[in-house]
Amino acid sequence: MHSARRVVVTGLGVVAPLGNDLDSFWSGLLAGRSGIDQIRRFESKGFVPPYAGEVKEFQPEQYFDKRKVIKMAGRHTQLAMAAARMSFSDARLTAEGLDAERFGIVFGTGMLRADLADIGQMARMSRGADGRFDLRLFGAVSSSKLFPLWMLRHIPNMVSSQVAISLNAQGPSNTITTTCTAGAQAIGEASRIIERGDADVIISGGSDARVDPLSLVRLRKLGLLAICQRDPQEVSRPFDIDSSGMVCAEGAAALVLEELEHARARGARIYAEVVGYGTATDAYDLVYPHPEGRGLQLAINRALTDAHLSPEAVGYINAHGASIPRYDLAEARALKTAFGKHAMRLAASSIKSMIGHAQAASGAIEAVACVKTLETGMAPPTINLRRMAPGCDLDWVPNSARQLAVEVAMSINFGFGGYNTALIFKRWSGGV
Amino acid sequence: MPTREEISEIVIGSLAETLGIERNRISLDSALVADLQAESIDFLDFIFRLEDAFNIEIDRDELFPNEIARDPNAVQQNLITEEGVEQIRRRLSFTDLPSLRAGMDIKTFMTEMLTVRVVVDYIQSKLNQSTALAG
Repeated sequence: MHSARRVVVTGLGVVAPLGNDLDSFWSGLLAGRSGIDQIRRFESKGFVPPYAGEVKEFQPEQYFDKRKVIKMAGRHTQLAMAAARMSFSDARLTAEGLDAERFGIVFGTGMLRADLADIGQMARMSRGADGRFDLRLFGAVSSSKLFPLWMLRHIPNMVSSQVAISLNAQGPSNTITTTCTAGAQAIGEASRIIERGDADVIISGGSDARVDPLSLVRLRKLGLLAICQRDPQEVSRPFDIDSSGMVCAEGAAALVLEELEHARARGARIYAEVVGYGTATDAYDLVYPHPEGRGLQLAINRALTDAHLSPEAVGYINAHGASIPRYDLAEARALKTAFGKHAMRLAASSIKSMIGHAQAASGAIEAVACVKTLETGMAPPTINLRRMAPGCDLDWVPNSARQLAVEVAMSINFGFGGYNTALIFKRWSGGV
Repeated sequence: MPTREEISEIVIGSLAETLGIERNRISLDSALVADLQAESIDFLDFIFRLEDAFNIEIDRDELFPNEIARDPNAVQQNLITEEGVEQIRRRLSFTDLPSLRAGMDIKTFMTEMLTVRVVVDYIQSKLNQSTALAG
């Protein structure tokens, strides 16, 4: 980024279908393991689809100082709290060592899961004599039966609020709700806040927890979910000729972004530098991307311009790879146009093949993977890729991880509503 | 109608749920704010649970005299006046407040004297009233 203030990544935290911490998540990705399975959280036998990328054996208690706060935290907030606090520890930050007023929180999150059980009981009790829903009865029933703090579980910005209270972050805070790009945009926008001097440290990321019957039905009705008879582990297959749709997942990831001199002054371990960010909108369709990935091309070009880099400088792309055929094709076309001949030499992979699509969290989870690729010199694979779909003929690092020492990596996301983002990270080597 | 022991059990159970703490950390003498660190948001939850458990309606001011605390005749320079003592005793007539006296800091009263016992006394009197009405 062209400002005098440079932004580096000094902490990572993740809770995802492959593992509830950074190490198990990353080793799962490199092993090409799938975290998608039969849904366990609710009775999924007979439910369509019966599989999803669930976070397993998650215990929120260890991430909350006060147990009573958990009942006001929706699952997306609980996952975000875990990721945020792990990133904070990973960065070896302490409350005492931070200027609270220059410490902020920016999170991406989406439409919040509705607790059917809460509302269902009230709806049943609100049926009048003729069996129809009676609004007056509902008014009476809800005032006596609705948990008074219920609303706090259902406001998107409670994620940032709860994390800010927990870590005493008194600086700028924001909540980004651009569906599938929210997590990535949170990271990009947080970088801008640090660049312009409004904060020195920001925990940014994304969180989503919509593996619940209502959310799944909604996505199914739009025709975006994969409905097929395969093993759950084989359903998410980005860029494969047999892909039939996305697999819904949940999770959260957080990155500690820090102004370079601030990080240096405290001797922080630096994973990577955030060198470019671009965002753009298709302005084309509510659900589907522009067929040529118009907005994605623009986001990629903007990020490259922001980073003062030529397309050839990019060695790895963490692809969006939703496993929705029309999305995957638009992505491949956008990459070919934006990168020209270099597209054929690029390695790009989609970890959604292993963890599914955690929507508002996906951009942040993938940014973590992108940063880990730079740090370790290993690119995670795109699993379940047997035969490439027509037009998707790029190097997607099929089926097994690859040693890939690169200096510059990009993470791209796009989705619902026509939003597109590109983030560029640069490997940290002591840096000048 | 539940016995006093049963009322105490339910009140303590509801409070434990509200505050996310173990029941055995709560006794009748525990002050909600000073001992158990209840915050304003917790009172919303606690009252909701009590209303649900006992099937009663609770006016928050009956139990926690915030309105009196803001009355300039009852509290002057944060200290409870004679008038204030009378008002509080009238409002909280369902319980004994042996150490309440004029000159006491209103904050001390609100944080230290509103104990679990006061809540149990309140619930018992509410249940007595409704039984009397029904009878």
